[in-house]
Amino acid sequence: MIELGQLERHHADFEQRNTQVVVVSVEDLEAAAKTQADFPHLVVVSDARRELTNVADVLHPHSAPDGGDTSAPATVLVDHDGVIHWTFRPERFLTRLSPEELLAAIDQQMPAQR
Amino acid sequence: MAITSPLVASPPRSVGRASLWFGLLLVLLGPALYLLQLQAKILITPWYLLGVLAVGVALLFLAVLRKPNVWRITLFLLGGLFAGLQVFFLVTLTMVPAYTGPVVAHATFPSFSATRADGSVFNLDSLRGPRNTALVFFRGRW
Repeated sequence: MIELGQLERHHADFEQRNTQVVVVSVEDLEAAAKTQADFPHLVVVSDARRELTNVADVLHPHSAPDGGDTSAPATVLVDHDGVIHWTFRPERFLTRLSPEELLAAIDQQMPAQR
Repeated sequence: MAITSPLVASPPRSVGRASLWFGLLLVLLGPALYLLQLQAKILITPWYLLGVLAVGVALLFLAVLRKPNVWRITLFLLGGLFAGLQVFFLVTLTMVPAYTGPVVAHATFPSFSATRADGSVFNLDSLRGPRNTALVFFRGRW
């Protein structure tokens, strides 16, 4: 959740780059609604059926504190035609992309798309 | 005339004590350091802990070498075990499965359907439109 707070605080920088920040977890709709209330400038998506998580191949089985599944941390930059420009997937779940790194990736990978 | 035996210098009680306590502190400090890192909102893998733990275990070992006794050996073994568990967690348990999926640069994002927090549909069409998208997968509210 720390990373969502960091992304929320940089929402103006993402707006400036014509980029919506969509945050996805395998939690249910109720949890997603709470997250949306906490981070109103992000687009919060519930992927309880794991369709999106599975197509992106980021399911991390049995890694939640209760033994359930979670998403492995990952970030994908997609342009407005649905084409993937860049992916970030750390080898370890303790590592996250900082907002500054994500903004730099947008500037570098999608300069013409802004 | 009194007969006295020569004084044999026994090691003072404090020999290696600083190594013992400082080593123990370093070994126990690992989780606290990581919590401090999270408080500072630094989301990196804490590789520095490997160095902290190595120094801690080395100091515990030094304390045993300088004055071996049951307590020190026990603390060394327990400290070493705790350090080993932390290393195991850091090196092995934090790994995520290797990526084998279709989401790679220059490909079109695969078709999918999920749900926005307001209950509306979020699918491939939601990625197409006037804006680009940074799709961030996160682990959950916990």
